[in-house]
Amino acid sequence: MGRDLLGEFEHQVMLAILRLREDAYSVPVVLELERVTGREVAPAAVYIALRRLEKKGLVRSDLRVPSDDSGGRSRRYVELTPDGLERLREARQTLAALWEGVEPVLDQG
Amino acid sequence: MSWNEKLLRRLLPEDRTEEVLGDLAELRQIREARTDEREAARWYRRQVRGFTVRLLALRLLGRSSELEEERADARFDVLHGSVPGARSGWSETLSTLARDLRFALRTLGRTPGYTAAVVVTLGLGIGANTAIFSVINGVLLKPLPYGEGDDLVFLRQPELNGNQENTFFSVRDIEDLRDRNRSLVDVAEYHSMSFILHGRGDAEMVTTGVVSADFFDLMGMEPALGRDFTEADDRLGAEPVLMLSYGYWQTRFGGDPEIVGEGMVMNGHTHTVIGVLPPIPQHPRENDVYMTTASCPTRSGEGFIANRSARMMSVFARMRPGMALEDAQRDVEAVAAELGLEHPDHYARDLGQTFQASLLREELVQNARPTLLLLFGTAGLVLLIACANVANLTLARTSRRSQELAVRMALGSGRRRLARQLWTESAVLGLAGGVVGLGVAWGGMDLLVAFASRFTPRAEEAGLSVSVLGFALVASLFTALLFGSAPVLTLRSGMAEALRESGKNSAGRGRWRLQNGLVVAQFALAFSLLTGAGLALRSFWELAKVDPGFDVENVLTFQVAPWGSADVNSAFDQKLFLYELQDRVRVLPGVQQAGISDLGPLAPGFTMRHGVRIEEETEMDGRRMPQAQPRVASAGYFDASGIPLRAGRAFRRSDDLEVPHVAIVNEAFARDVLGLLETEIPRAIGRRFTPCTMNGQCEGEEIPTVEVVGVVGDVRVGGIEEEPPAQFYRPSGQNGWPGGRLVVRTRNDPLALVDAVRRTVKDLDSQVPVYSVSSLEDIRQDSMAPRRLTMILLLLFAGVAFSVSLAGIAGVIAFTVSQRTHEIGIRIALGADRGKVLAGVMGQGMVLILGGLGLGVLGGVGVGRALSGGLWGVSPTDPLTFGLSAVVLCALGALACYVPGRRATRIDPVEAFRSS
Repeated sequence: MGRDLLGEFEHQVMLAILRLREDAYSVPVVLELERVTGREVAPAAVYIALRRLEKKGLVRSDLRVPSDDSGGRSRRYVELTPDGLERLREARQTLAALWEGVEPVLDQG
Repeated sequence: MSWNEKLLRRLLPEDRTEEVLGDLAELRQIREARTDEREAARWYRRQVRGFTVRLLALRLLGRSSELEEERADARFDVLHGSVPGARSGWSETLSTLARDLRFALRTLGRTPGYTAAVVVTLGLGIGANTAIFSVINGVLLKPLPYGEGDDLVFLRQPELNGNQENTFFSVRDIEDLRDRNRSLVDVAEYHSMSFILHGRGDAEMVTTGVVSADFFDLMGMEPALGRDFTEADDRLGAEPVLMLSYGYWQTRFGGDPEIVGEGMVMNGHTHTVIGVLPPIPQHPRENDVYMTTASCPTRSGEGFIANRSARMMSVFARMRPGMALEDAQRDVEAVAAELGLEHPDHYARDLGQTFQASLLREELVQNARPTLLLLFGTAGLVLLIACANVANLTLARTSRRSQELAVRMALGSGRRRLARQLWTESAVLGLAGGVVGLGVAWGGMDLLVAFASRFTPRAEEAGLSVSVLGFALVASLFTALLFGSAPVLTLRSGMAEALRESGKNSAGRGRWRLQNGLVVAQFALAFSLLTGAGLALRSFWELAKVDPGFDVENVLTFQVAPWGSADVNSAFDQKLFLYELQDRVRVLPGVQQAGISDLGPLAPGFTMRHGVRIEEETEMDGRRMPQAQPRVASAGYFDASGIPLRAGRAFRRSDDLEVPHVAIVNEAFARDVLGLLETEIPRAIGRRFTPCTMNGQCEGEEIPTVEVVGVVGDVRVGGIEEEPPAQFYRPSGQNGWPGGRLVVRTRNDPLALVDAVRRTVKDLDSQVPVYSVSSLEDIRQDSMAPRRLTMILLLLFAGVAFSVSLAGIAGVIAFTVSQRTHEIGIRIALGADRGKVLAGVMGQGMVLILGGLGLGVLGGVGVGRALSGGLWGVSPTDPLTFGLSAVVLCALGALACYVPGRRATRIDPVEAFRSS
């Protein structure tokens, strides 16, 4: 069997991580998704998606105590693994290929 | 922390908890900055709830890869838990155990109320058992503290067909026994007497053990200080020597080691202290000092030694190695039979006079055994009740945890894994209860030792020892096994249901049945104990109502020993001294009357009987000569003691040797010896009889025939429980020995007069010791003390058992109500009468209580039967006791159900719906 399918929400979370670069942990991910999508995002959903992605090896995390305003509490920072980046690239290509030639139809609709 | 937050914490993997909650809090702060505080709080609550629901769903639906991983973990656990060492050895087992222990401690720490209730309940139960076991261990189980004590025997000379348990031994008996036996290595003699000791300070009466030189050697005792007696000390004419008992040395001389070598005057001779005994139990009684037979004026008398019938000594012996008691018994019986043939005048073969051997070990504890075993049994029942109660608490708790357990089971934690976890929790609780129990036992030890010392000289050997600690450990683990099996049993049945009803506490039908069964069992046991304690209480009550035959209120009694003074040389001098003392005491302020007697009205342990020959009854018709107890009394004695005069007159000071000999008899004498009916008692006056001597001599110059001049009421002389014996009193003025005990009736507290009395004696003659000073009331109380203490302990146990059972049923009913909140809410909303709701809830409890009562009656009959030997004046199935116990049980049981029942009637339907 081939690789697991990437769910839509997982896809969104990975993109948010990519956008946030080294500042990515669950709080900014939630805020970024809310900002971009304009909808409320449940932290639980983000947490579960992150754990699942981590299990799939697309994301890796490490616990750090940052020097800034965290109040000394540790945060789990996340970044995409090379596999993760590869999967995003593949997804974009697939989507782009699929989008080709359908834009005029949409615009008409 | 809200309930949801707690749940969330549990659902999150341990290493993620803090970061997730931290992230949530951070988001909440951001919301707060953007909107307002209330809005943010609402959002936060929603998110926490959502988080919980998602995680739960994830677990229950079992679709995530996380789940797979945790399943694997669980399988790993099970494998290692069930096959310790098979794969990774001891260290893995230990670390599993450590993990289980940590988890158990954490879980229990989260429910401090439950944990405390369980630990205290178990602590009481284990404590009671440990305390009593420590006494049983010290008294019944440990070998005697004497060297090779199991070979020691105690000999008696009973009249099997007569009424004599022991006629004791004469010097000739002992000599022949020593020469002729084949089963004994060593034969030592013993008797006890009171002598006056002029040592440091005031003259004082000491109980003195008079023993043969080999006595302590036979017992395997080494002196703690100085040396033991030698053969030379026991030869007639040897320098008199003394050994002190450890207790007397401590209390009287403050443990001064310089005492060895000091001289003390006894019986007109200087005795040298040669040693001090170690602190070990003394049998048959505790003595202050010990001397050899050669120093005892009575024992060393030529006539006494020659008289085969002069019996007053006890015999201790050591069996030859390998000999059994039966061998020794056969052997001494054979010796007795031989002696009986050789000296028919001195052995009443027709009365079955023989020698008997028994193990000293048994002698020391025979009075204590039944009481201790009874208490041990009772304490065992208390522990069972405590177990049932804790099992119930634990079941209720498991019920509340069913969600957690169900989830863990769904995750693949096998039943064995969960069972192990539950067992670990139970074991932790059991051990904590054991620690508390040791504290309870330690705290109650002094009291219990004081109690046991009423029954056995070995009581002092009780204490916390390695075996007692071992017992407490075993009791704790056994208890844990008992109550811990209840929740484990329900693991099977309850879980599927719990899953279906997810989110609600739930209890399977099996669990209900078990909980109800436990409550019924608790009440059955508690009722049995209640009736047992009730029977003991009733016995005591009946006993307290018994008329002892004298008036105990405001009477002081004390003993004097005028023969201790160098100025008192004859019986006549003693009499003058006593009369003078009586006269002086009588005029002390607060004194109403004073009299002299030999023993006072209550003298437990005094069993002497003499034959009496009634004039006009020369033919004995083949029956045995009637026996009666000889007593001595002065003018004023009956008045001072409150013994009523039924006919004739009391003694007068003028009843002396100048006038014909007289006597006063009691009603039992008139009835049993003179053969008079109750109504004919005055006809005893004028009858004449001859009191025979101790040796059965009824004729001779010194044996007068006496005329009855009065009849007095019966007195329960041997103790409140004993029927009054036939007694005759001789006047002090006509008896060889005028007596030495004063009985003083006072207007107020008799003990307030003690100093004045002591001063009066000292003023009269400072060499005369005053001793055994106490009020008559105290002597009476003391004679009832063993029974009272046993009763108090039984009541205490029954009280604990009953309270625990009440707490148990209240808990179960409260739990039911909490489970039925929704249903009761609906019924109230639909207009159900609140009274009916209350009746319904209480009815459920009462069914359990009545069930327990039904079984308890059977148990009570059993307990009554076990107690029957110790009951007095009450039948083992006394309907009043059973009835009252049942009423108390039902009334308090109903009260215990009423409290949670009332809560049910206050359920607010709206709240009930909301919470569901």
